[in-house]
Parts: sequence; structure tokens; C-alpha cells
Amino acid sequence: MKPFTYERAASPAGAASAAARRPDARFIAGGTNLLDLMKLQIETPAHLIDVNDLGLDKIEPTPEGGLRIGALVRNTDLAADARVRRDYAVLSRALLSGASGQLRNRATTAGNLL
Amino acid sequence: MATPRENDVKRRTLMAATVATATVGTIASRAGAQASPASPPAPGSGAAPTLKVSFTVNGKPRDLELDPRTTLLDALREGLHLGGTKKGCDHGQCGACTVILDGRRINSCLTLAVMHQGGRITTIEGLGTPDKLHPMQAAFVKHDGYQCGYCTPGQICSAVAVLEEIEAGIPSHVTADLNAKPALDDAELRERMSGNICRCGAYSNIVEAIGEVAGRKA
Ligand SMILES: Cc1cc2nc3c(=O)[nH]c(=O)nc-3n(C[C@H](O)[C@H](O)[C@H](O)COP(=O)(O)OP(=O)(O)OC[C@H]3O[C@@H](n4cnc5c(N)ncnc54)[C@H](O)[C@@H]3O)c2cc1C
Ligand code: FES
Ligand code: FES
Repeated sequence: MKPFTYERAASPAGAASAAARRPDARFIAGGTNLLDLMKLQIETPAHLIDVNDLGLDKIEPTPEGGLRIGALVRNTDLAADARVRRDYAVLSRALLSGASGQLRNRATTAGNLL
Repeated sequence: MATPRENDVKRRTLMAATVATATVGTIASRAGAQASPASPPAPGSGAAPTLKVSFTVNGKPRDLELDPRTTLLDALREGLHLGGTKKGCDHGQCGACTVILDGRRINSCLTLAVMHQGGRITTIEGLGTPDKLHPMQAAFVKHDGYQCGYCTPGQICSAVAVLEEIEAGIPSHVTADLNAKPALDDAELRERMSGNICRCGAYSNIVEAIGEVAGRKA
């Protein structure tokens, strides 16, 4: 891995302004994709902004009757959520068919999408 | 002249003494050392300043000062000399590096040590001791759940967490009814253990060992 500096953001606004200050930075959530790529030097960020403290780890009902899934909800928690299992079974099934138990315990929703 | 074995013992004693006298263990990152030729270790030049991190490993508070690149796996093995946790692929594919972090099994090779300030980590050394084996360790011995043993610490940490995941009702890819409590059958155990590769192919004995701990008939 190329050397990098590291900071832990305390709020979404703090994370966004840190990223604006450092165009050479990447956000890190579970790290299961980014660190893999950094070890191969496919990704070479000079700075990492840890987003794990942002509190975006909730699954909340929306007024329209849907669910809002936080960026930091882990794959395991999303797949195991009782509402997702009951009403969005295909999402549970898709998550459970990917990677491994260990990886799903770290992998986040945003990391998976981005 | 010392035999190779005596030399090894002395080297280990010396290493232990070195760790004991240091208030904070500083380890140079070996990041990249085992990766592809495209990522040689970057000695000294341009390395980022070290960072302090404190977490609990097997119930003991530990303070480290690390190159930010240090994975949790390298911090455990090289910073804290807990060699039970193994490095297989270093890319999240084999499970040899599995540890339990804040109650959940993870691949310690794909996370940075500095991300775990205040975390609680359990490694194979924290599950049981040679005199007082964890029931899962005892079952692996009884059922010959290994040959070379390289994957075993990861298998055992994973297996302990798997039974907790089933108990907590977390479904798996082979769970037929997502809304019912998952079964404890071989198919469930095999699927849930699929992140732990065994080069020696001890799989069927591993499943027997886990099944016994889970309370199934041996
Ligand atoms: C061995 C292995 C097998 C795998 N198998 C599968 C599989 O079968 N199916 C599958 O779908 N996936 C698979 N994956 C990929 C896995 O799902 C991803 O690694 C994981 O979802 C990434 O999530 P993370 O939180 O760890 O992301 P990170 O590694 O932390 O980040 C990934 C990317 O997302 C960005 N990012 C993360 N969080 C945010 C945020 N909040 N805001 C903005 N940007 C953000 C990061 O900057 C980075 O660019 C596998 C991975 C491995 C290592
Ligand atoms: S060494 Fe971590 S999964 Fe292989
Ligand atoms: S016992 Fe040799 S790799 Fe599993």
C-alpha cells in the first residue's frame, strides 16, 4: 500500500468538508473493497476519511411506507432486518448470496453500491 | 553451539522481552510485503506519521503506535506477537485471519488497526488455553477438524460466531424460510463456514465438530 494519512470524521458535514479539502482522499467504511484495491495499488489515496462514526447505520420507515437504509448499515444487518426479510425478501436473498459471513459483517450498503 | 530449536526459543524470549519493556509497541508496516510484485514495501520514504490506537485484545487493554497502513491482522501478529491468527491470502478470500471484533467475526486482513479505537477483539488465543480449551477447540481435536492446522484458528473463531449468528436468527443463503429460525443442519453450517477455506479439505470433520458443539448428536 502507498502511504496515506488517516482521519475519523465525526459528522456527515465534517466528512464532506474533509473530502472537499482533500481531493486525493477516499472515504473508508468497511474497507473490504477499498483496502483490497489499495493493497494491489489499483487505488492509491493519499488520505482516508473514516466514516464509521457518522451514525448513518439505521433502517427507518418512510412516510410513504418504504424503508430508508443508512449508508453504513452492514450487509448482515440489512439482510437480517425483520422488515427487509418480510417485505423485501429479494434484497435479503441478494445480500446473503454475496461474499462471506465475515465480509458481510463489515461491508456497508454505501460501500457495496460505490 | 545452539541447536536451531534453542536459537528459536532464545529469539522468542528476546522478542517477548522487547515487547515487555516497550510501553508502546511501534511496528513498521509490512503492508505490501506479501502482496503482488506491483506493491513493494515502501521503506521510510514518504511514510505517513504513525498514529496511536488503543483497543482490548482477549480482555487486555493494548496500546499501539502504528503506520496507518497496518492491518488489524499485522497489528495482532507483529505488534502484539499473537501469532495464532493466520495470514493466508491477505485479501478477504480465505478466512485464515478471522477474529471476533465487537462480537462479530471479521477478516482482520481487510481492516486497518487504527479504525478500531476502543474495540474489543477476540483471537484464538482468547477463546481457550491449552489447559482449558474452548468447547469448539475441544470438538475440533476430537473430530480431527484439521490436518496441517493453518486454517484452524480462523475456522474456530468463525465457528464460534456462526453458532451465535444462528442463535440470533441471522439467515443465510440456504435458509429456506427467511422469517423462521434458521436450522442447524449440515447445509446451514457448510454455507455459513464458506468464508473459511481449508487447503487440506477437513470440511466434513469441521462440520461434525461444529454440529457437536451446537448440541446435535455426534
Ligand atoms: C473476497 C470478496 C468476495 C466478495 N464477494 C462479493 C459478492 O459475491 N457480491 C458482492 O456484491 N460483493 C462482493 N464483494 C464486495 C463487497 O460486497 C464489498 O467489498 C463491500 O460491499 C464494500 O463495502 P465496504 O463498506 O467495505 O466499502 P469500502 O471498502 O469501505 O468502500 C468501497 C468504496 O465505497 C466508497 N464509500 C464507502 N462508504 C461510503 C460513503 N458512506 N459515502 C461515499 N462513499 C463511500 C469508498 O470510498 C470506496 O470507494 C466481495 C469482496 C471480497 C473481498
Ligand atoms: S488472510 Fe484474511 S481472508 Fe485470507
Ligand atoms: S487443516 Fe490445513 S488448511 Fe485446513
